[in-house]
Amino acid sequence: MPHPSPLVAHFVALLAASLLGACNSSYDQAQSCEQYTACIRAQDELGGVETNLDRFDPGGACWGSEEQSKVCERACTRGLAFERARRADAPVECGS
Amino acid sequence: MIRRRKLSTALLVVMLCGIGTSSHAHVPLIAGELVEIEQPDISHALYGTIVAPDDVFVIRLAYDEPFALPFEILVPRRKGLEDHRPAFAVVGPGLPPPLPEHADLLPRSIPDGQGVFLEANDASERLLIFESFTRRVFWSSGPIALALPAGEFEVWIFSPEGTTGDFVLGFGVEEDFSSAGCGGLLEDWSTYAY
Repeated sequence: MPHPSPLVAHFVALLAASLLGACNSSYDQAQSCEQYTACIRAQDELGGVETNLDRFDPGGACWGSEEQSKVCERACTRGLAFERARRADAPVECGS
Repeated sequence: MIRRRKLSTALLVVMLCGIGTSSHAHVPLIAGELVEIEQPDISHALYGTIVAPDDVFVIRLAYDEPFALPFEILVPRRKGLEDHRPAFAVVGPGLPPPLPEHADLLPRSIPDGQGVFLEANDASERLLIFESFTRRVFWSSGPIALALPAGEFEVWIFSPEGTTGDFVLGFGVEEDFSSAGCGGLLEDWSTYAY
């Protein structure tokens, strides 16, 4: 079986490596989302429910790409402000 | 040699299609028609055009557990849409009553026992984002994470100022790779890439 030319092999290897790298990229959980999840969990505890926060947690879908991590970081900042505003008795985890 | 080239080309197409399928689920919206989202836990980009000033687009989401996810509304950054600021309202259980300053903006009254989150999309400075799938720039209302209790919700999309034009409602984070295909991507490209 003929071998691919070094140029083709190099190109394919580079492409594969970059794609694998992209698939495996991971970003740290934003501080705003750390606060947001703590706030929602504190509210859940008071209400006896459990909100699915998987995507915002460390290792969640939010942190798989730079684009998504920016969306989530902004979303958590505004989400936290919304939670503070909607409840006069918001738990301390929601900040002030 | 020819066989080798064909193999390389096929590999490249498969890999590029793989990139293409990492798209958000997409649903074209039509004013006045209720769109039910079958998998509200995955990321969606819903495309629509406000044609008449009083158009209202309605999307229904149902969660069987309390669920938190980001929402935002986007407008393609292009000439003629500078003043187009569509709003959206998430309506359902567990949300607060409308603020007095927001009540007049809503296109419909809130059903008894339900509340609303209104994204009026009226920030003085508009957030600009580059969307890597369509490779286009959009104005964004700015994403917001909403924690919704289990239950049924509606999202109303409308134009408080009566402007008309395109919009994209985005929500969720998780992507679904199963339903999109390279053929579908190319077939619908004009929808994605305005």
